Amino acid sequence: MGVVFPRRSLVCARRTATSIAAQISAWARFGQHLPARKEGCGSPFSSVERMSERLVLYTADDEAPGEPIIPSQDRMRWIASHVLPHEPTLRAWLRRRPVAGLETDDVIQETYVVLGRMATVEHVTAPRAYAYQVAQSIVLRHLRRARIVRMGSIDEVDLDTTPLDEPSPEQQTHARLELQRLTEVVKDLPAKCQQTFMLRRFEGLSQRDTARRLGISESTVEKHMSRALHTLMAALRQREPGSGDPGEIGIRRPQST
Amino acid sequence: MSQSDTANDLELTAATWAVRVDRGLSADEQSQLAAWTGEDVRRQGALIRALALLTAVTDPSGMAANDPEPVRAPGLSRRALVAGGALAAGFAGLAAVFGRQMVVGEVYSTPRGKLRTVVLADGSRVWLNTDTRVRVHYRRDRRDITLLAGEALFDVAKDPARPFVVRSGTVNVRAVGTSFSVSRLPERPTEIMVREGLVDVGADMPGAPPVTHLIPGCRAHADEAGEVSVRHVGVPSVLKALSWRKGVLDFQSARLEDATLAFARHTDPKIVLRSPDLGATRITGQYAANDPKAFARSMSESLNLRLTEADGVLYLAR
Repeated sequence: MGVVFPRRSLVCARRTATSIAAQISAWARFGQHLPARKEGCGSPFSSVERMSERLVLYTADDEAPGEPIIPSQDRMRWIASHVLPHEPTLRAWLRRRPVAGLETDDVIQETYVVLGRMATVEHVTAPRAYAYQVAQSIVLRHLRRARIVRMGSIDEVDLDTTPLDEPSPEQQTHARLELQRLTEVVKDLPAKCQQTFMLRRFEGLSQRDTARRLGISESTVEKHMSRALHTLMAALRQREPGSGDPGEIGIRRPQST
Repeated sequence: MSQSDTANDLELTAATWAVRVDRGLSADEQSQLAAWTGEDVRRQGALIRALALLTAVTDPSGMAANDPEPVRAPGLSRRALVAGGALAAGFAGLAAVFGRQMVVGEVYSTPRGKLRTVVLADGSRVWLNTDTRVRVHYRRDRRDITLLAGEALFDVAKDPARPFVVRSGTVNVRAVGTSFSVSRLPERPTEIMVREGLVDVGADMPGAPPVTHLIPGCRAHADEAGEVSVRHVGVPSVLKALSWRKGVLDFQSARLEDATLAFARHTDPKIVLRSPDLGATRITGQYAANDPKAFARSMSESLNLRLTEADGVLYLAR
């Protein structure tokens, strides 16, 4: 391992330093099993297999902060169709590998930042695996800053499982249908809120037309939509994988050939 | 870092911003948003997540392979279904190339006992039940479908600029992007079932009542004068009623007489009820549409009826 720890972290109790080192190398070893490495595909992760040596991380805060990034419609569709449906399994995957001081939520949010900021996604042939890699790199970066890791809170990390290839078309479709099914939570919202959501979603009415049709102000339409979307976000966060995503599709033992 | 941002608060604010971004930000709002996201990278992430989710739910047609469950008609491989759809799409494409004037509409049909799925030029999908004919005529400002006979389910690609109108006799069923079925059987009012989205039903008749709005889970009957009666049976019931797409007839407390008619639409042998009171008996269950014999046998067992066969006709009697 070519990891050089900052001196200060070595001053910490030796046990902590060792377990941090072990954990970093453990997380980094994931890289060796990660899929979808096309020769010369030019992604920040084309060198993911070398990650264990160099810990080259592409993370959100390498970029200048401040400027809000609003990804293009195309990128939104790409994320909506290739990443969002797998969020529950990705969350579960992260939850099974807890890292002190790092919330699953935080990793998820940062993953979206990276995916939203990438200049292009054309080279990404396996979007789900890619999203896992991004999430993994965020965890690694956090671990590298070992000072934040509190002592005694590191447990062993389960290393036997890694995300492999993309889900089958059936699983893909299933995951997307599950995402569509999420909209059922809107049924528990007040009638006007529900109607607003339905008109915007199914009839593709603009905000103005929705307001006119329902006889309410545009700002009210906006409030209803925010509420509906917020409900959906919370539902997606709490979604248990397995009920929808057929089992642990993303996580299999490395195949020994 | 904003330690105070709980997941829920963060999501609420992100949702609010996502909705604003969706409708377009004023200059003021842009700087407010920058101030908000600038503080914490997680906020930026929550915003992107909110926008992606908004895209997923308001623009489902934009999502790749947003297919409903694949359908396998009895006796037809999925490959054949796909090929048929592609072919149909090809024809529709040709028609579009040759100019709208000469397009008088393409007719798609199924013989008795066969199912078919057709992908139209705009990506809309039509599932034809047995013995069904539809004419498709896409104009610049609307997508006209005529249900000439039978039953079809429409998964409509969203296009607010071009409403999707299914005509069944004088009855018009209008949608923008949604999923619903229309059935037009002899001597019956037109039946409409909504699986997803909103649908308007009305008649093309002077003095007809105003259109009726249907929501998912509705089962409606519309007569020629445009009188519409609606019952909200729930989406699961609608899905069950649409299981003909899998070659299955799913009866939920259906009249035995209606069930035998449903089989007769699919295939021989015909089932005839010999006792006059039998027709009103309610039955529930799932049966293969192409096997009326199995259905008749099951009826004779469960209802304790006598089953006989003569000249290719199945008779049920008490």
